[in-house]
Amino acid sequence: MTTTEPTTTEPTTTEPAPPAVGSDGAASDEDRPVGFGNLRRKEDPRLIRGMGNFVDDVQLPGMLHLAILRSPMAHARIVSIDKSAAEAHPKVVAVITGEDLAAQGLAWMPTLSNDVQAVLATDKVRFQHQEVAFVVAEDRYSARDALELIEVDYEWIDPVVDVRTAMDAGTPVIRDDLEGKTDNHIFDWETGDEAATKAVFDNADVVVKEEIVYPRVHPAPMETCGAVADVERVSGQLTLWCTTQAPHAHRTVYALVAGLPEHKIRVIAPDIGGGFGNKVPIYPGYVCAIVASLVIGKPVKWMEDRTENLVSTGFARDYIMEAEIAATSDGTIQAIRTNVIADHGAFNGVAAPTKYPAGFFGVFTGSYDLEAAFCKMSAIYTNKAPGGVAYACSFRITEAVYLVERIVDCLAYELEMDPAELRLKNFIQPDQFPYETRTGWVYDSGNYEPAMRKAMDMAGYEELRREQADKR
Amino acid sequence: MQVDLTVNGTEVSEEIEPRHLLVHFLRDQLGLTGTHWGCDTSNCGTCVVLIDGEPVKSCTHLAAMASGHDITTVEGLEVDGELDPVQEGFMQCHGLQCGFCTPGMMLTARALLNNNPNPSEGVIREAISGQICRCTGYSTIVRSIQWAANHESAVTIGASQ
Amino acid sequence: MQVPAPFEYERATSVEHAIALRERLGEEARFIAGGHSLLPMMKLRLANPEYLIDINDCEELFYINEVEGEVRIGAMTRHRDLLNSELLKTHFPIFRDAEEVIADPVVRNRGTIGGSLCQADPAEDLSAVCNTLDATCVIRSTSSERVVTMEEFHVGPYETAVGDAEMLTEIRLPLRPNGGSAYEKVERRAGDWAVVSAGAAVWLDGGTITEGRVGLAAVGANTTSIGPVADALRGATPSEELFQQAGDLAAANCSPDSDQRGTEAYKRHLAMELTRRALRRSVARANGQEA
Repeated sequence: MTTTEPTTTEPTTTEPAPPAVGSDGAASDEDRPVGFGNLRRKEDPRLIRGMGNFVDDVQLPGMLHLAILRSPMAHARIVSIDKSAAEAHPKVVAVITGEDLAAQGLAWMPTLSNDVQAVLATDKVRFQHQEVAFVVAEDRYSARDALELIEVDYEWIDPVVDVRTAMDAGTPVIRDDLEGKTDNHIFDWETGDEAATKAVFDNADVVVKEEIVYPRVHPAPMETCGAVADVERVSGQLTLWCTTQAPHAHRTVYALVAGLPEHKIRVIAPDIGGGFGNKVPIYPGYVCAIVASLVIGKPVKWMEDRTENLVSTGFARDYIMEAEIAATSDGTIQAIRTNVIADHGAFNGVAAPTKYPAGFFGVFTGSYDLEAAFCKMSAIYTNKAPGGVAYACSFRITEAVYLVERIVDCLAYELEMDPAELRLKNFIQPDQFPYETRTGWVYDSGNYEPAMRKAMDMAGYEELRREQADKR
Repeated sequence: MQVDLTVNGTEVSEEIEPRHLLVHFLRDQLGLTGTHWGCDTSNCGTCVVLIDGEPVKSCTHLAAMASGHDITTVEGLEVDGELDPVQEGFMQCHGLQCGFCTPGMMLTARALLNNNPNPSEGVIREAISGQICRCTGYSTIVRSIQWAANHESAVTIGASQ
Repeated sequence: MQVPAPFEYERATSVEHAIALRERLGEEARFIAGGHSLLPMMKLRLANPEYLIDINDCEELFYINEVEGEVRIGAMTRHRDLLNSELLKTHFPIFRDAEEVIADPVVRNRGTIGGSLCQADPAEDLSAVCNTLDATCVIRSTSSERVVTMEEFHVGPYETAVGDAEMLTEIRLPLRPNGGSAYEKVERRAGDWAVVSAGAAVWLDGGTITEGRVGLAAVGANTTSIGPVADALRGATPSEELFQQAGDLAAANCSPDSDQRGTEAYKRHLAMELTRRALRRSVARANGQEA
């Protein structure tokens, strides 16, 4: 066998040498990230020893494992399910379908957005990889094997995957489980003065229009989602270890779904391997684990794999934003108008404390002093995974910032003006605070120009523009 | 089938199915839950352990294949009650937030420093390039490993005295 | 949970033992080397062999040697060792270029050249390298040994010439004087399969190319060496015009598909551009101008 030589390939780098060591061997202050100071985290001594307690680390006596069968089709009627072969597997304890849950009134659960979501599909599947059935087995390998033994007969329905055309006449209705539903519309919201904004646009020197798409992204924490449910038979107490960022909200929903009083439910959020909003919603898998433990009388663990995490759990963004900006020919921004289509997937499971996207409405006018602004938003169902979580920046702030800064850049391009200059020209001035925006939100304070100039300085903006001019 | 291997210095003999992945064997059968799993495609590296001193993704290695070999997991970094400098470095330099990728990162770092006691930043980044962290942005992980390089002690696994 | 379906496990103690096991267990048996192509497929249940024959104890297959005008590489040689090999760096720096962009350091500790070639993925980098270098493959059975060209080795996507009772044991690279080689790859993210990659190798005599070869990956059913490019390079004088001509021939003589990695047009453009760059660097290295 050839000997292993140390790798000598090195990407070139201009980073400084590692920081100096103090005379007592302890790290000098330069080692510490900015703002870290002298405090040590309490959880680190456990975590660096591998003594974390993440949900998949929980092992209880007699614990069983749950695996979920998911639909390969995005939109289909469920004609029949044959679970007999799976039930006959020697290591399988139970196989449950939507029909079984429906008999107990457990097939649907409320979402955090006043909608309902299927725990297991009953009449039809509404997004690819939607939960259709689950298996409980003695170990996770057997549970996985048993999934292949369940036969499901699907009848194709045309899937609705383009939110732009989801409201066209003749498009299949996804949420025909909702009484009286005849289209794929969820809600409309608007903010600002539509007429006043139109007047400004009609008389403006310059109008720039751009479709700005913020695609669906996924928070992808390193730890996937899962739960261990343990319903204690005698006391009726449910203990749920869960990858949750919102244990109290979850407890309320489980109380509603399981018909248990809240004081009999204990939700434990142990160590978590990242959340980023992905672990706010309540997933069918959690409810399945609870139901399984309730029915079987043993602890049941459900841990999704990475594929399941990416295809079925709470995504972020997915906004199609038609943006318009009106300005004078010398670069005074007068108004911003936007029409937004929000793709919420098959069930409205957005994790938001308000009914409407407050963050978006409050921020899409940006840091600029405007005469008028108007935003209309339509939320639409599609045959995609449900969700629309916060993720990194709450409540659609990210979408709003992308919209306003992009459309301002588009204006700069149109006016052949430096984008930094354009912004500096249009900032709300310090003496205008507290400032009420054209959509009724109050910014309490701000001093934007020095902040902008400092950022430009740190980024070497002037030098970059000089270099660019040289190379052109 | 039976497997016989050494895990963190202790000889282990267990009954397994041939298809059992090493990561599940370590976690579910031996109860060593410090090694994690986070993907289906051998990309994330939260499952990294050392096999005969080399970093390996234990989700892409059968327990059967590990029979006859030496496995080191994160639980084996501490020697006689003394933390490995890598562990100390991660605490000193805020190299972890949620801690899920950390065991794998530390083991790769330990293997790197055993072969290359004074790696440049570029070499460190290349060494951990097969492992993903969603929390830290990697800078503090690199700093933690540099701290360990500057504070090596005689008490580490695989250290040549 | 992505875990493999059940199978039986055997461990081979030598090449002879491995081949005998394969012969006995039949077509439902697969060798497992590094396992980083096979196990992911088994976890997705795209591959479900009934038997796995672990060949990691076949010590006699781990080597990189210079023998009789060839560099010979044992099939079990790990990616990491190919990356670090001074012998390969001297004669065929294309290997180091390629290994730097294959997977990641941890995967490279386990993956092997034999496993990579036998996986026969159309985007597989070492296959493109071996095509570029006009490698031959040694395939052994219980009773005999045969040597095949890369064209003969790769029968189709995920299909090789290695029969049910045979084993790939060695890869041979012919040594010629005054050579230079290089590899260029475009990938969506670190460690990914190529969108397109190109390997090039040239051998010079004075200022003329005596032999020049280009191999591409991810542009069709199998990685391929481009015959028309070799024809154009033979006897030619290196120049930017020649590199462009070779690039254009490469782009015209491959069959990329539009997929999530890119459109057909983009991939043809990459075939052209990466061929140019790889040739340029190969010539520079043959002239001793670049590390």
